[in-house]
Amino acid sequence: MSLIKETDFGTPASKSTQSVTLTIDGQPITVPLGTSVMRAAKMLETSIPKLCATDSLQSFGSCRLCVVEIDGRKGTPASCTTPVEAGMVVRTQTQKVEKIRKNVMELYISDHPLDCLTCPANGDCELQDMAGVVGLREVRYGYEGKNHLSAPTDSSNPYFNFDESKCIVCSRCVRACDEVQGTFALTIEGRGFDSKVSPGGKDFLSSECVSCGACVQACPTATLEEKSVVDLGMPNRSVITTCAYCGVGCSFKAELRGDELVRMVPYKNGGANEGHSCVKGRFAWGYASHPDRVLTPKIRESITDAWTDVTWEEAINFTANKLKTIQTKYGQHSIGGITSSRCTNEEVYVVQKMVRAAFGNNNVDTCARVCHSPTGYGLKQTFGTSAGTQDFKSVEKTDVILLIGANPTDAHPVFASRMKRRLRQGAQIIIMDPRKIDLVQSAHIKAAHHLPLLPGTNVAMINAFGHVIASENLIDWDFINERCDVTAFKKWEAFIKLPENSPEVVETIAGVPAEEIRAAARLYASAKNAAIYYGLGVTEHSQGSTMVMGIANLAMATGNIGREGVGVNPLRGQNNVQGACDMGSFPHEFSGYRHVSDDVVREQFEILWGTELQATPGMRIPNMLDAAIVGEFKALFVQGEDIAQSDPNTKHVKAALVSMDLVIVQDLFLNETAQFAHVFLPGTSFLEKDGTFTNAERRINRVRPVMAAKTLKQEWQIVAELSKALGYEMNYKSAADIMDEIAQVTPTFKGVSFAHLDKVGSVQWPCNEANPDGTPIMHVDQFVRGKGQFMETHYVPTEERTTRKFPLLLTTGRVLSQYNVGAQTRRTKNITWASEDLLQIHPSDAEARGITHESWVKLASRVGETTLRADLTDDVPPGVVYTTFHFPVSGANVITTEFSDWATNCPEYKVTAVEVMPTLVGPKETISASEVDSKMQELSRNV
Amino acid sequence: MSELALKRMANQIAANLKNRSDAQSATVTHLKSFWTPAMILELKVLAQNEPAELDELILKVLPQI
Repeated sequence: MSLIKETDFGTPASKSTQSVTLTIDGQPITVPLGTSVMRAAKMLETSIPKLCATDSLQSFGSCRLCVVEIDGRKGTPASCTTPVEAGMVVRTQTQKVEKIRKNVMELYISDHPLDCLTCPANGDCELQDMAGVVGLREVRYGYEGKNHLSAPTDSSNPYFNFDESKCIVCSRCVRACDEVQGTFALTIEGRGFDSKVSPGGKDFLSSECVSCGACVQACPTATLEEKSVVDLGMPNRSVITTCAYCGVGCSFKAELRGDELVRMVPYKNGGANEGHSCVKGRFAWGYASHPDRVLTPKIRESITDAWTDVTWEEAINFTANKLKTIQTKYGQHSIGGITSSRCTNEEVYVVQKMVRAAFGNNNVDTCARVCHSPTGYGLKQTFGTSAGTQDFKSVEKTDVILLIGANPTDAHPVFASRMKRRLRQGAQIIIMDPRKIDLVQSAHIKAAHHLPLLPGTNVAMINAFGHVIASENLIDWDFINERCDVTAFKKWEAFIKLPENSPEVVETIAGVPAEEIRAAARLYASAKNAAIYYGLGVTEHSQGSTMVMGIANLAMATGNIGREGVGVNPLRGQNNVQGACDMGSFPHEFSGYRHVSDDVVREQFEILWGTELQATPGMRIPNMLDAAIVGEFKALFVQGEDIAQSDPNTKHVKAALVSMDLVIVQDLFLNETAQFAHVFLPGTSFLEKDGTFTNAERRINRVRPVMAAKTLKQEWQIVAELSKALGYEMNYKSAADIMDEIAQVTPTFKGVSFAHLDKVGSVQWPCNEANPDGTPIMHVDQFVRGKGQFMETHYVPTEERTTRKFPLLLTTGRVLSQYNVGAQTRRTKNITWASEDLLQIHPSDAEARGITHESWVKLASRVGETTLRADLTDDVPPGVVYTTFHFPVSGANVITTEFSDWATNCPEYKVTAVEVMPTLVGPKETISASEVDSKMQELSRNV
Repeated sequence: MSELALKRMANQIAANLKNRSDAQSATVTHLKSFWTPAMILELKVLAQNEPAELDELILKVLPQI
């Protein structure tokens, strides 16, 4: 495939439903009202020269290159800022405008380095193109005048340069940062000739810039250029694929020069991101070729032995023989597997199939167990299926956003940009989060209400919202009567009106003033369109499932389901959490969320797979680990996960892994879990995979191989070979074959195939005969389960309590530049921004303990302790501390406990009672005696 | 499974369902839907040997499973 260049219409599309007919260069055209003349011309395939215009940004009218003549109008208006009018007659190529354009280009070129042949943007430079388009042959002003050619280059950002000497001050970068990303990090500094783009501080790295790449993408010259392009040259072919990071699932053009990946550029036609990206997807892909990648299978008899490199055949046979021996000795149910949200739907499907058909049990679980399993449970109970209700675009119609336990600017940055754009347009946001996240107050954003509730009190808070809505009659009765189970609603109404759920009582539990709760609940309930977005701050609690049901209750009670701008939207942590769950990774469900005890469904699988299947649920991850410790569970296949780092109570996880006779790890790197493994099966990076990912909006996107698998095998092939060695053959010739089988057995995927996805780009399930192009909004006419089911959501406090010994509450999360356990991002230049986990602590809590900013602290809970640096900030309230779990050296999950959600066993990562105290040394740091003295003196002064 | 883990899980389910109007049926459905037969068997043994360790709701519904 050649290099893909999307059409640039110069200005954004108008959303008007009214039409206007005009004539451009003698050709009539009918376009939506509000369309610019430039865009209308492009729709006729007439390219008006331009520099400051691009269709991802509002028109600006600064470069004066796009001037046109319009009959009856004076002068030469800029076509980008001139909206079409009925009967308008436009001429884009006249002597007058050609002369103006040539003169404008002469001015630009007179102050531009004439180094096109050695410029990294040679061949991909709009300035160069426009010089050709306007027929520039001379620069009458010469090149000797005052200029910017000696302006310095800012190379501080690890991924791109800012070469000021090439800048034409078109403001595209500034506007991209404002309009697309919403960070407002850039500005035009100075006036007139001294005008220049500025990151507002010393350089890009020390500025507010979040390195999303929007400015680089918008730049029409080589001013903002990827360092990889500078190093490797301009790419010459593109492959459309999907990002491997968060649940937004952005589409990218992987741009290569031959077989070498040069850059990842967000794809304008990608439904999830529509041409935007974040620092991870755009730039942090270097891990795929990191020297730490393991490409050869490894085995060992004991975890104390050194690894032995073996052939694939040897590794498969070794593994199969061990598994058979273990099952013979300990029974059919003594082994199991874990699937990964970092793997494709096809890879996940074959692992769960191997467990069910070849292992002969249902001991398969997925990493969603530790993140969004409560979403699956809660939304299935209330709505009938385990998925978010909207597409991302829906937020453009939202009037009030209720954001709960999520930090999208760090964890789902591209969706956060959509959200921020809507907030700048006037929508309001209510934030329910102990921490003062960016969206509470940042550039042009101020939350209507921030409810900094005490960790562990979510259910009390959502019940208080319900109480206000029910007791103040803010209920949408038409929706209740038409769409919901009225009997269940009445039970809920009676429950929610109980005094125990009133804001006045909840104030004493959650620590948020009752009037603030009432005002926020009224705002949510009275909005024309109100939408709930939530993250792991909802699910990773002992009542995570209850909270999800409480959220669903709220949306149903106010009729905020089944149309654009509303809904219940889980923000998934990893790119394929939704897909891994859809594929039958849970021990009680086949693909499409159908229980294994359903005889009709099970029989369908039994016939297709040619084997008898178990009708009872298998073990969840924590069940497997517990069973391992008591000697009942002996072998685990771990696909693309690092449970020794990501799962709670690391000591317990490691004890379980040590207790097993066989641990098989399939991964890119020898991760923490691999320390306890007997078999290592090298995996493929997303750049090598062939398959599909399903993002948080149920969008199924193709993951296309950008390069050949470095291991020479796709991961599904390895699993299929292991399954065959165990006596159960899977006869797939390609990943497309696997998707065909998924479509055959999964009603919501019935219309999905690689061919269909290649044709339409992406689809949101359900994709079937009724909805061949997918379903952006769910539950439009009725809920999947028929009538919406209200659930009683009694608040049960977590057993995890603060004590005199552990008086603070620890909550955990993610930072923008790092991702989960950091296996990928730690191996990229993203460590420039975050090279260690920090402990956020309120200055008052720090002062009481003699802790200073950036000093080492010991963080201890009743299950373990670790050491990390303190970050004093009032982003956390007094009594609450916060950290990330990106770095194994700090091992934040050494601290987290065994408590979990009552319904799904999703760990309670968000509530751990801890104490923090000053310490002298970091986790692996050694210091000299004099440094100890100096630190001791410092501590003494501070205490 | 360890007795401690089993006990904690069962009692936590009971704590979250016992105030619901459908407490018993919801508990039965939950255990049947998500617990392995071996776990249910172990829970029954636990209920026989150490009934005081388990929530009343669990003791009530176990015969139905």
